[in-house]
Amino acid sequence: MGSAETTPDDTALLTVLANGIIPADARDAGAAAVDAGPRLAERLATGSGSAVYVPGLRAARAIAQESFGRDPAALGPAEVHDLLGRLREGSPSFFKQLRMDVSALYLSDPAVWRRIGFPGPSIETGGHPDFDEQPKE
Amino acid sequence: MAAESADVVIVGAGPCGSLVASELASRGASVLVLEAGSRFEAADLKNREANAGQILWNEPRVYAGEHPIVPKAGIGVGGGTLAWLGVMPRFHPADFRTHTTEGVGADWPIGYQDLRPYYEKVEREFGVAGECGPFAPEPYTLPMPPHRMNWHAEVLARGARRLGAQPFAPPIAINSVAYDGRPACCYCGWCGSGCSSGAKATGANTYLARAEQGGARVTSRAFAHRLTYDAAKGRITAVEYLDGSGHEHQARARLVVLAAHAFETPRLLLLSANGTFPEGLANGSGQVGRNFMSHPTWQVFGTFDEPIHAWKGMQMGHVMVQDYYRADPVNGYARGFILLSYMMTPATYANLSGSFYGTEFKDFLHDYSRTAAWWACAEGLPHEGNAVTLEPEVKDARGLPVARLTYAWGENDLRLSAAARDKAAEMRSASGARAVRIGLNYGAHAMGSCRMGDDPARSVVDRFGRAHDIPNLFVCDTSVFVTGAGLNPTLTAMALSARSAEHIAESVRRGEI
Repeated sequence: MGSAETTPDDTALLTVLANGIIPADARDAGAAAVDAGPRLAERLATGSGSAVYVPGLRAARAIAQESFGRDPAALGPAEVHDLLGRLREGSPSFFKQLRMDVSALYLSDPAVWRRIGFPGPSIETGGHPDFDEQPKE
Repeated sequence: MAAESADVVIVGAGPCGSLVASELASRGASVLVLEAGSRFEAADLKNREANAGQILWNEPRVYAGEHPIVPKAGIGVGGGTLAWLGVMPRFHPADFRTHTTEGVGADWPIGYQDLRPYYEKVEREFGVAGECGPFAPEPYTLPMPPHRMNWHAEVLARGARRLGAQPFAPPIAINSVAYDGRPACCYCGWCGSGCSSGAKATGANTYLARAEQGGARVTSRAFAHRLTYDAAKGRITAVEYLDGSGHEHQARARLVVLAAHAFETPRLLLLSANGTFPEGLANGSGQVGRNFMSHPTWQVFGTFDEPIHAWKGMQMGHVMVQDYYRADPVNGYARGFILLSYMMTPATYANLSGSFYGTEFKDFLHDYSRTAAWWACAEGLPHEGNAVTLEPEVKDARGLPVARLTYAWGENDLRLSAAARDKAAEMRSASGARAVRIGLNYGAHAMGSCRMGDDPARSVVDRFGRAHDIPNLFVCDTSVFVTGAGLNPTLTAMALSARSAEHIAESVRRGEI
């Protein structure tokens, strides 16, 4: 698969969408904590996922213009939430892939694992011999 | 074109192909196994979710139809057992006679009693731990004791018992004690990423290892793309394959066994169309690719106030509920369903949760350590229109048309799986969950597409897996299933393969092949 033409606008748009999938709050910066948008843009620049992402980004821009009269990168949090809902309905393959990719980036960060209470790989430390005991807080 | 030869060429190094290789090599046949994927060492499969990109089917396919499901399939030496979760229940006698008993689906040409000795054989040789459970087709004992329930399973079982069900530790091909030279499970919780300890049985670390000790050759990164058919002899003479560098090879064979799973087995037959079989090799019935089946499943999560730590232990099958499996005329549906504990590593947890997003999604992710999950699995009945065909518009990297799966759940499939989902949700609440979330609805397992039968006009292979149209061609994988039951299919596929291997050996001995 060849490389896809991406622009700074693509990076901005992917950042807005990723940060809408997993938003910032008091716990952490969400998708932004792992630079999900820029990393997805870098991946797209290699051509990876372009068959799904390129039409998906096109659809996102069209919906933003139609519904809000603005570029999606300029939308507020509530408008981004609305945009993602429309993408889920109208571009389900793109939405599913985007959600999956953003989640995978967020949930492969050991710092996020610590925050959600997951210890990560355990095979090197003998697994979990206490698997049948009631866990403590 | 490089050429080689063997008595038997097997396409696919999954559990079924590995089993057949071991059985025939031990009887003195020269065996060559061709596997499209790579060979992995234990060190390659340390705890990493990214392993899935290597050991799950990673080439293009087209999924279409009213319900475009995407059943997982494996790739690599070991096949689907590299990424599988190991649950190994026997099918029930009624599973082979759904048309007779309930007027749905179709009857198999064989029954439970035909498979019983092969179930026992595979359970012993592959290594299965667990209990047969209170609703087993008959009382039977497994070679390893059951795993103790992890805390996750205890919480699930609590809710099940409150509703009058009888949860138990089901048959699972993960060692509860050291067995067959492999260690007991250490409950690291990463089964789906591959097992680097070797406690989980795979085609590679059991039957294929024995086959290679017995002289079988295994060639990985060998993509079989055509079966050579000699019309004058009415037989297959060779398997043509491409190696990892794209070079063409020919493996001459006296007998060919297809064990490439329910997508790639029919695809290879369709790719091998010729003047005698213009609609696909061994497809005189027109049934190659048809009656593809999957299990309609729901992931049902429950979040608790207290920590659950469901990631400690085997990912699936510390507990099973089979109380709702037997058909009952008072139900508003045919057939039945099961529930299995299933907790996954974080990214898979996110993927199986559904399609919500934003704050609600983030809250769910941060509830990971307090969440438990049932996997509700129902039977999906066969429909002729659910089919694997070739997609001429989409080619793989080799330039070959990819498989296209067209799929729609039937009305009974939807009613039955909804009942399974609702029962799982009811049990979640009975367990004391503060929040219940219905997660993803998806198709699990790939079956059918080269169904067995006694009538050559309505089936692809006979009751021993031998192609009706071609005497030296066998299919040994879930492709031959007539119905899929509502249970994990690998044990039954392997039992069928063991029966086929014995039949092949006997037929060769009698000079019939």
